Amino acid sequence: MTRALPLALRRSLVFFWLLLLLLLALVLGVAMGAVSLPPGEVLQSLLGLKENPIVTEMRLPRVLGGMLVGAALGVAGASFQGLFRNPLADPYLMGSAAGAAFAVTLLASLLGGLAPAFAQHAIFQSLPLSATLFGFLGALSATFLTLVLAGGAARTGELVLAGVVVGSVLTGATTYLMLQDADRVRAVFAYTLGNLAFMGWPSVKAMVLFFLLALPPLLLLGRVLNALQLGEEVARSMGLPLEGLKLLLLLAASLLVAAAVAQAGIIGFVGLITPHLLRRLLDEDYRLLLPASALGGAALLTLADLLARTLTRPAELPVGVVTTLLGGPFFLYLMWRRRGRA
Amino acid sequence: MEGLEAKGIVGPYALLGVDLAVRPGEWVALLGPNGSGKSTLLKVMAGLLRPRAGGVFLEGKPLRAYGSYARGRLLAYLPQGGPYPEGLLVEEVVRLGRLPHLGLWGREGREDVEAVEWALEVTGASRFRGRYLGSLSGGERQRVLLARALAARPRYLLLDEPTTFLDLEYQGGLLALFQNLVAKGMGILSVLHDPNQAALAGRVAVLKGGRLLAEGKPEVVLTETLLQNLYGPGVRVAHLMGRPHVYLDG
Repeated sequence: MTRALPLALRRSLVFFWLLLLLLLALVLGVAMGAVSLPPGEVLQSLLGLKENPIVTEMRLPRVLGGMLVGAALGVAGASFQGLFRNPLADPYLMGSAAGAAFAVTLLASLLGGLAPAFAQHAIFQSLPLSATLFGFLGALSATFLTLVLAGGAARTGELVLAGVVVGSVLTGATTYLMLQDADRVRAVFAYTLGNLAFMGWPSVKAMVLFFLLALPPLLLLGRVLNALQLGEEVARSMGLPLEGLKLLLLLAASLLVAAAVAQAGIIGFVGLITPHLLRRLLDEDYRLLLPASALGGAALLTLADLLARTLTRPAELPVGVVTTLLGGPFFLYLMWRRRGRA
Repeated sequence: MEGLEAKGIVGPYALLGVDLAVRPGEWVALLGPNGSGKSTLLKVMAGLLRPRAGGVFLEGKPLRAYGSYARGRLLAYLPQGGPYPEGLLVEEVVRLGRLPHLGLWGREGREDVEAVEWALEVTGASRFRGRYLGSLSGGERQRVLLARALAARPRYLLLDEPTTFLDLEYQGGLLALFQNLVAKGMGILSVLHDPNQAALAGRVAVLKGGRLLAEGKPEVVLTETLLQNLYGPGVRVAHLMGRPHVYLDG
């Protein structure tokens, strides 16, 4: 939070760089992979000047879908952190992503087993909407369970501990359901670890739909999140109808988590890292932090997926492995810094 | 009936039947040992806690009958300590104080801008309006949080230990500000733990064990007998320039 530049200029610059980074991630994401495409050709196909099925049918939906998943996780993370006034609140650490994954898997197995779905390499291409709605219930239940176990969201240690317990149990249950279909264990495993390889145009459409539903309330309630940082009593004393507003924020953020998980499995740490990095560049003003976290999460996940696709070329890593490898140390750093301060 | 009145408040927690009123243009200090129910009473009167029995009345009407924003425009509440947004600019923190007038999506008008400027000015917080709350000293921060409460231009100000974290100079400045606001017609109810600060208020109410022990002008209420009852036998009271001064016998 340097003070060298005037505030408005600094804020505009952050958004400018985020957009540029996103554009760069888009072009690189489409250009690179098992087969590299020259940037000129990528631009031509993106602009619709030239038909290239690798771009339009494979990479573009994957990159766009990944951006939407990343944006969803970034916004959801920032919302959770603001809502629970806890910098370590995050869909992954609070178990809400695991809840969504469990519910989605349960739905898939109830609907006649996972085999046919995984065989198509996309459990949810056939049911992206109902999967998300089911995942939404899972995410909400897991979040409530975590909050109950932690006795509220005020104590960071308890919250993370409860979230990890809820997340582990649900992930275990998810794995159990998936192992009922042992033939497909590789595909199953890839999904649990967080993967953008299943992204197709149906997933992109589903993400857009849920984004349009969940993002406006979150962006419009940025000021409420600001007020909540003064404590609930102060926010209530100013007349804010907090019970309803908090529920709305929780529902909208959980819907984004569920949409992301239904399309791409459990991708950790994007929701934690993105708002943290942006807080250092911007302020803690949620009216700015939420849209910035959408852009930042989108860019971060797209770049992480680029690593996932190229590090072990021609094989692919699940992107969740990359974000966890990057995010785990970052999380430790945050814990260490908090302890230093306390 | 003008004023903010608590009548027969029983519960939550320690309160065992308390009557207390603040009138416009009056500063009432609420004094009492730890655990006597001061903060609880303040929250009940701010409409943040519901008493088991009794009720709170604002300008003669039950507080519950007011809409939440209407209540927020008339009563501003400042808790003791509590969380604060380190990464928010001072100016945005104070502007949040206009929420009762703007609701969720109202656009700021001239009146709102003026109220924010006024609040920054009277609390002496305008010097650091462009800084982050987390970069301020405890005393500076407390003034910003007070400015947030004042920005609503409330008729009544409910403050829980507002002088905590302030050094002597700013304590003095703050207490002078209260006298100033009261002179302009605001009603202030402040929980204070220092009887010497309470002695500056127009009226002192003393709470012990959830009951009102005494109430009245500071020079009448703050007697050695009462203060020894509250804080132990070592407490002495001297009178300087007509005001009680409380000290510990060393």
